[in-house]
Amino acid sequence: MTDPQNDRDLQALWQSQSPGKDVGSGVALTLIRELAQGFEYRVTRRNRREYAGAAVAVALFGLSVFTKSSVLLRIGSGMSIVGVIAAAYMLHRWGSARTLPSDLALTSAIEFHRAQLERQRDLLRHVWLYCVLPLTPGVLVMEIGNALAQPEHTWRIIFWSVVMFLLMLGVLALNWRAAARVQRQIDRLKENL
Amino acid sequence: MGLPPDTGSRQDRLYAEAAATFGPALQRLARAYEPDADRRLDLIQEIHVALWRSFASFGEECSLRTWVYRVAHNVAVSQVIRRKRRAHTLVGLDELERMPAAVDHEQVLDDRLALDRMMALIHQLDPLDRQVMLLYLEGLDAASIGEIIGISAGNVATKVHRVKKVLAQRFQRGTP
Repeated sequence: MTDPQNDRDLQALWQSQSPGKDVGSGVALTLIRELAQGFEYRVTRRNRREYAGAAVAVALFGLSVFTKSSVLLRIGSGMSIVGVIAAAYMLHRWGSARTLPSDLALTSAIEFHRAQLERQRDLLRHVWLYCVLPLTPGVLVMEIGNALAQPEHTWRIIFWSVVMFLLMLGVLALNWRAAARVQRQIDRLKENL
Repeated sequence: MGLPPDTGSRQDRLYAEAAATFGPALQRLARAYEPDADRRLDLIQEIHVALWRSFASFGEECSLRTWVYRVAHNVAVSQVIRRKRRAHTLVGLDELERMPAAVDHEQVLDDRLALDRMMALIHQLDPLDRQVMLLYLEGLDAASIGEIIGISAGNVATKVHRVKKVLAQRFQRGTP
């Protein structure tokens, strides 16, 4: 019977686990190189998917620039293109998926953990800056353009604009709440330093 | 980021040595971080790749053991953070000590059951406490654990003592 207060007992029990079918005592070096390339490819693919989404949005707004009859709608579409490009740039700069740095071992576990959490917290906290702020002016101008182009539907457009605004606030609130939760984790880590 | 420059056989040799010496410990570490078999395999592979990469810049900053465990724990913790959903269920030691344990009267535990209970407890720990516990279970002393994690040896000893206390309660009460 294992005595949980006895160091040797606990350590022997832990180390008695059978090796199982996992990687075991190493991965063949040829496979390591393939896997390393695979991980980088996966990260590249994830980022490409996001850029492709931005490209589709730019194309759709671009189409509106040439097809909409109202000047305000055209201006709004143009502003949205700038907004999408700005958002994509900021996400690329601060929020893109990355492979792990090769100097992992130079950072103690607690520092590395804290840095990762801080990056996650900042991304959550700044969603308004990355996503909401760049896109809002274009959408707002387009909504005004829509209202002026279809005065009979003004109230309906205002109603949906308010709904959209509230939804956006909801998303922001969820992100800020998540950021606060991450901050609590960071604070707990700091208590250990 | 590209692949590390080919530093020839030194990087490969260091990796082979580390994998042979610490391979089983890395497997146990992966089990403690990832209960799902497929994801665990991903994690182990990611740790091995990160290790191999890291040896391109291995100097005399620290021992091979400290280097290996730092890489492994840093990779594992980045996975925990990526999987935010699960991270929300992780708790600190304070909460763990307060959590009520269901009582049953089973007192005699065989090793398998004891190991399951230990693993269940480890899966509940937040990353920092988990790292301390895993390194302790691998037989490292408080000073070495402190060097790898970046906290004082005294803090390590306190954490180990507290986890052992919770573990003892769970062994006695039979909480999985």
